[in-house]
Amino acid sequence: MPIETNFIFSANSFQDYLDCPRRFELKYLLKQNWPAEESEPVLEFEHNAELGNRFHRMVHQYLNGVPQEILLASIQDAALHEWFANFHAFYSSRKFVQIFSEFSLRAVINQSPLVAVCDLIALTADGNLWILDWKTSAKKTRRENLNDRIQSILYPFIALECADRIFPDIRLQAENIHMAYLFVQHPADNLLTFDYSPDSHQQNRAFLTATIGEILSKEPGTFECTAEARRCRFCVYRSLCERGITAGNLAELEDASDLQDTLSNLDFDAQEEIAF
Amino acid sequence: MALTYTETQQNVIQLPLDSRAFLEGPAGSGKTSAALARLERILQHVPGHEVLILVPQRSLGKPYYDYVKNNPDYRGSLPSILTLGGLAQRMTNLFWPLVAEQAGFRDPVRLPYFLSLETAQYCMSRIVDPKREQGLFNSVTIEKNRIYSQILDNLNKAAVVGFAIDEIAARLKADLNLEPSLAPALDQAQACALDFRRFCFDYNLMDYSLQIEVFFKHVWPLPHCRKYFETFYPHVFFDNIEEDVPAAHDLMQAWLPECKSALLIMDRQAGYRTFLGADPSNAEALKSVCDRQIIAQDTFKSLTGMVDFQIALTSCIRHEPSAAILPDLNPVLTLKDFHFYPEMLAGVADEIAGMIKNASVQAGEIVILAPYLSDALKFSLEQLLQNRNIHSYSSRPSRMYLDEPAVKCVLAFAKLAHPQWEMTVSHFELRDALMQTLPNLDVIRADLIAQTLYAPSTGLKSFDGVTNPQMQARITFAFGEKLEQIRAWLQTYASKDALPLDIFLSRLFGELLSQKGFGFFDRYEAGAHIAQLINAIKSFRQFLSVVFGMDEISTGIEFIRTVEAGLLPSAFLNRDEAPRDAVLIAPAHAFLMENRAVACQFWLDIGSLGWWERLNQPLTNPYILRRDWQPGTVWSYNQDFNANQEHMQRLVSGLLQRCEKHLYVYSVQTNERGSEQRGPLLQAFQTLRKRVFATQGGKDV
Repeated sequence: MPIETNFIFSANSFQDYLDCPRRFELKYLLKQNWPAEESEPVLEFEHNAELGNRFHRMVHQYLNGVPQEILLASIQDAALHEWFANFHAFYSSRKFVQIFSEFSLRAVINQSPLVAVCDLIALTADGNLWILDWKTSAKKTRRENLNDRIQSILYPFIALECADRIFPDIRLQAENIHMAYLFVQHPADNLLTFDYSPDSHQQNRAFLTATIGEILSKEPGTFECTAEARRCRFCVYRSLCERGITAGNLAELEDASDLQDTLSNLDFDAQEEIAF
Repeated sequence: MALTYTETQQNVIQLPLDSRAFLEGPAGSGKTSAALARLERILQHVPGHEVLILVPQRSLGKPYYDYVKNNPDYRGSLPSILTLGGLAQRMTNLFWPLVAEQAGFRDPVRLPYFLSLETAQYCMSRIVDPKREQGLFNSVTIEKNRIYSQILDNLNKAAVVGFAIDEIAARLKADLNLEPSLAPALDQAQACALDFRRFCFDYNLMDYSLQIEVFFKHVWPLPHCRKYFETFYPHVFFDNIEEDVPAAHDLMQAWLPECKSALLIMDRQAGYRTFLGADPSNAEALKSVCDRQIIAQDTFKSLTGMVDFQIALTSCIRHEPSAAILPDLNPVLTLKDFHFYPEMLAGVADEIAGMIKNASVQAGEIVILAPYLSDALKFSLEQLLQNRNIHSYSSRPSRMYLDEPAVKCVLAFAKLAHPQWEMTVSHFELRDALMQTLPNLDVIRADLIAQTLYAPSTGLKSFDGVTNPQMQARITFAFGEKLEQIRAWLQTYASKDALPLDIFLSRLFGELLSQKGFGFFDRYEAGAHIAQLINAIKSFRQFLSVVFGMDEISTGIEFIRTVEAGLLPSAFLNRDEAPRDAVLIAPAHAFLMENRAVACQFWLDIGSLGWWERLNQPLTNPYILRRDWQPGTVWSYNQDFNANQEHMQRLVSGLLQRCEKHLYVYSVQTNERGSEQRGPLLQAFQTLRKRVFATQGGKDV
């Protein structure tokens, strides 16, 4: 089945393609729900993902006007309390004049739609636009790994492409865009910022255009498996691709930080992309 | 190709950006097309996130989803496409910490749990079942699941219409058509509704009715909520307002004077969801908050013949005289009569196969409609079409995946792996499971294995332990090796702590059954069915453990128990997007709620009373639980009869307005249950046939 012309590219689908083209084909083209375990222990992963969800929800509530003291009173989990305190310390140090929380944006490259679901888009008085992403993982991702993640490429690209539609009264340039990740488990030195530039924008456009072109030009059945077989330990399709039997253990990732940093499917904070 | 618009549509599109307009007209008059073009114009001037598109149910939002999804040029933020329920849930979730305590929830610090229809029924069973054991509802002769759903329906009506729960029984007793013996059951239904509401407050549960009540009473008055509306919903599109409930109209009555622009769209002669609380007359009152009204007259979709046919059939339904000369209906209508139900179904499948073979119509342009769609009817039609290589899909989820051999196979292994459940696996179950698991295993050999190596009391025995060499040879060493692998996997599992059922099944599938050499290796369809099962069990586990604190392991047994009681399994299915080139099989109302025209429609068993009368629902009544119901009045037989007549006429008109080429009307002399039915729709067609015969000089339809 060839890819649909209106297929919506997102950070998750791009990252899946970059991680393993075969996974992209199985997941998005064949829409194959393969019910094997992704990683172990499952309940621990679920618990972490649930905590991540609750944190994102609390921040969304806070940013929509629910007072901090009411939210703090509702937290029964010590970890969440600490994460929220770290978030609040960061947020209250910034002076944003306009914010949009849990905000979806759409841009287009050669008629292929791209979508980003941002934790926060925030404008400062001096006309700078921040795209902020909350990370609840225990370990801070290394800058070079985050820099390579598709999210760091796609989100600022879409934000700049859409800026005039969201803020019609302001002329935003590439230099005014900043993509930042806040690691809320850490009280200090917890922000990784990537500044943007016209060159970055051109490079990103070229990269995204080429990747989309590559995907659209592929015939069904020609999407190859990743060469990095250790990724398959954390992929549900491993039996289908004859790449192993048991699911990888999350603890293994402690010793393989390069892998941990880039496995998009194990990101507790990955947003579920919307229907359009 | 650029679209051309009528003058009326142009008027809608070019309305000033700050106008609040009320657009009404019949189906097919291009109202939604005009609204989409208007949306395009609005989006050229305002950010997408400032637009709210409100629809009565998700299927009616599809043109708007498709517009945004398929627009090759659109960039920016995205509009919100929501139902009233979705909006209420979004707002309540967001502002929960501000309202939970004052709304009356026992543990306001905990998050709310939003119930689906199925989980609400599960919770209602916990209220109703103990009362039934005490003898309550004895006079009600319907399935217990329908008791749950009717009590929930009463709660929902109270919320969307706006009356107190403790008025339910008094209102329903005004129905003179009700058996006097049912009166106590109405009081019991009301008592259960009140108990259910307390249960929700105790466990932080939000069923649909409570979502609506909490939203209107506590969330909507918050300044935070108003600010949210000002930021995100200053521009409103509200389509098919006649299909929405009074509460949705109330919200718009309150919001429209404050918003920047609005386009309200009403389909005249519709109101197909009245049994769900839709209130077209209440919708019409929204004209008062609009600054202009536009009437769309023209229709694009219908053939002249179809319009004439609709007029002729309507006059037969109403028992009114028709035009002196009736047109030739053969180009638009085929009537067929069959002896038995299966013959009729085969006739439908053959007709469709012929149409597709001749390339006269594509599968996606055909719908098969019945008043209700039982699992048996759906399954039979799907099989008949599949045998003719025709894809089909249904408008509603089904429990059928539970009957899939792959699903039965993994559940059999789950029982084998958990002897402590004391759920026996029969020889037949094991035989079928092994045939799924071991490629090329024939039924004789599978039966031999089940008889030789399995006993319910001891489980699966070792192939290596078989002392009879001839028996080993008959089973074959190749299969014996696989059996040993299965045993080893089960033994390893048994040596560790038990897992929740969904995790067990995932592991069984991933580590064993989908590995090369086993039956589910590269079997996509089997994988998809098992995935459905696992998702359902997982969601149910999370629901029970979060809400009731049940331990994760016990939730698996509770899932199986609940499924066997006929509740649940469709609750947690993902509703995939409809396939493009497949025949739709649907209840007639569900098709109307897709609000799209097709080339051909098949109406099944038109003698069925289901085309005319509403479902037997002794514990509820959509007409009495309306906003315009006057307390103290009664609901008589004549009113019920007239309501049925009006309902059928509206249904028939709605369907014909969405039929572009040809209608196939099939009747059957002996229906599904073996009885003969000559309902009013069949009678109307017989009248029509006589009239055509008389005016066409002996030419029949």
